[in-house]
Amino acid sequence: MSLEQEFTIAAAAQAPAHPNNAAAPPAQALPQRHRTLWGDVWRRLRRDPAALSSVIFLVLLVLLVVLAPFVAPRGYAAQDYTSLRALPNTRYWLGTDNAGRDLWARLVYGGRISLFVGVSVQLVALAVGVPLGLIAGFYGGRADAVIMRVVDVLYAFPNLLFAILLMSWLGPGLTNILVALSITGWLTLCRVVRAQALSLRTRDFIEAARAVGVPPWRILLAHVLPNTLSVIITTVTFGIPQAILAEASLSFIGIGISPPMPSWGQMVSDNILYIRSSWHLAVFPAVALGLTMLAFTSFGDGLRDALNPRAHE
Amino acid sequence: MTYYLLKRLVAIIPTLLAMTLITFLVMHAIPGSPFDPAIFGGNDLPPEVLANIEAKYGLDRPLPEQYLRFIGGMLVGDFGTSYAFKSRSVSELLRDTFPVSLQLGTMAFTLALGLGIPLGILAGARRGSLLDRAVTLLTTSGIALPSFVVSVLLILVFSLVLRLLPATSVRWEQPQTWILPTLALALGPLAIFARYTRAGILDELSGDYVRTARAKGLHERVVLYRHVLKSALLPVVTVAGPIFAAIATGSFLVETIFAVPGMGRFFVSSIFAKDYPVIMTLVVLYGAALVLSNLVVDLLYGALDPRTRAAARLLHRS
Repeated sequence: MSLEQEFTIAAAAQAPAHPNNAAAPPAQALPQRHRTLWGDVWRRLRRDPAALSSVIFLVLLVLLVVLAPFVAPRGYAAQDYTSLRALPNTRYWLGTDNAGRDLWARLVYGGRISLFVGVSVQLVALAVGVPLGLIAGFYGGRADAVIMRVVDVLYAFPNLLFAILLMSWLGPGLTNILVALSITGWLTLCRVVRAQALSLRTRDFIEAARAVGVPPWRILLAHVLPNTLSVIITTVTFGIPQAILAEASLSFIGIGISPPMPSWGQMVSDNILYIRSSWHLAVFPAVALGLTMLAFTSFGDGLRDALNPRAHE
Repeated sequence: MTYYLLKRLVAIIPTLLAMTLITFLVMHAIPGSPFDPAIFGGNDLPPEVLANIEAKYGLDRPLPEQYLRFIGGMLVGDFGTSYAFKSRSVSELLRDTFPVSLQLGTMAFTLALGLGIPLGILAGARRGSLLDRAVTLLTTSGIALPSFVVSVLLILVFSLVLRLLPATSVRWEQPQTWILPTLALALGPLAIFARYTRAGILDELSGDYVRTARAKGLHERVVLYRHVLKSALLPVVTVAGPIFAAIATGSFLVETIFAVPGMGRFFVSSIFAKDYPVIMTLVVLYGAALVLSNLVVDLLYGALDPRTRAAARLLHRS
């Protein structure tokens, strides 16, 4: 990231907080429209067809899972014994599973679980990883040594292996999944924020703030934090699908979500046995998971390029 | 160089010990005995009988002693006896299943390298072409799609619609059962290799030495393969280590879907059965594979990039 750009980001992030900008004499006002950082990001994002269609898909997905009781009124657990493992038809338009449950409803409620896990794990990561990363990078010294030692040890474990071990200890269930994934979920964010804070620490504008007597905590919040925002946003956007995949993998193995609650991963593993006679039971949840992962990843790619347009040249 | 290698090998030991210790503690924190028939839905055993069985496997000893025994046994190649598959030692189980997993992993890794790097080179050398866009599409989906989603889609297309290949790989002795699991396991790593190669090529092509080489009138092919490729592949070598780990852990999902008779299945079933010796052995195996592959990467890196070699020499002198 270039120096000028960081200044623009810092200026844009602080712009609304400075009444002086708005009160500038009209004689100096340029005919140019006022542009904010987020306006620019959105403008660039809109020009990227892959990112734009991902945004649309994700908005639709969020609407679906929030309105789940209305779009799938049959619910995920109701059984219809007259219609077992039915292929897609007019009544059940994605068919029914082995226990006569509406596949569409299970997909929608499964999406609810996926998004809930993805977002919650990233919220924990924000709450833990960002402050620790800022402290480690900005203050350095012993705090940095202690924090990074913990991060490195946890990082050495293959992620999924660690989650599997924890789940076998905690037992299945939604809360335990959140705990198991959150324990390692903040590591990447912490490392990224620390690296950014470390490189900002010696910059001239931080030095200047220090020289005029701004207290360290204020430098951290008002100058360092806004300059790490773009990496935080990109890391979180890529973190959500990773948490979703981790939950799907745990449920696939059978130590994630406990039945009858649906999860896409669990639906794939439960129904892979019947793939010859009832292909739709494993294929639809797999496609739902695949599309969601694709959408988050290409949204993340687009967002990264839009936040950092110079990286492309 | 020998000194450096020795130092790195010694540094592996505490990492592996820490991994086994964490695994050991987590496993023993799980309530319940691995021999309680209630786990499998059976009737309760009298407590004395249960205590006798546990004593036979040494589970009545204090935890530190159990841990040290395990480590001691591992040093001489004795991984203990499986609790779930009684009468069979963990070494026997490994002898049957490890070659299958290793073969699957090697095939996938070779395919990913052998196809990913050439695709990355072609895409990077002809930036913006139709091929470049196709490769970008492939890498985006390869990186985003989880291996078990790819598995299901491959089964749908090649087994159910085209009816070309078997949907399960139970009969591992038939080579046609290898194709789908290998493809499913290779796609993600392939995408990453292709993406890193392409980025590396684009990065190096903008270098001054490339302009010089072109100005000398060198053929574009010579510029690409003699000058650019070596340094463009450095980042690819760096990611190869973590990718090896991804193949290792990703394999138990793929192995489960295709019913491959490898060790992935054992890992999952051993967790349900609280089969301590099997879990510990597999964690050590995966951990050792990860740490060793990172070491190999570092060594390769030194061999490919003279700058790191010089830096390492400076580091050791001080």
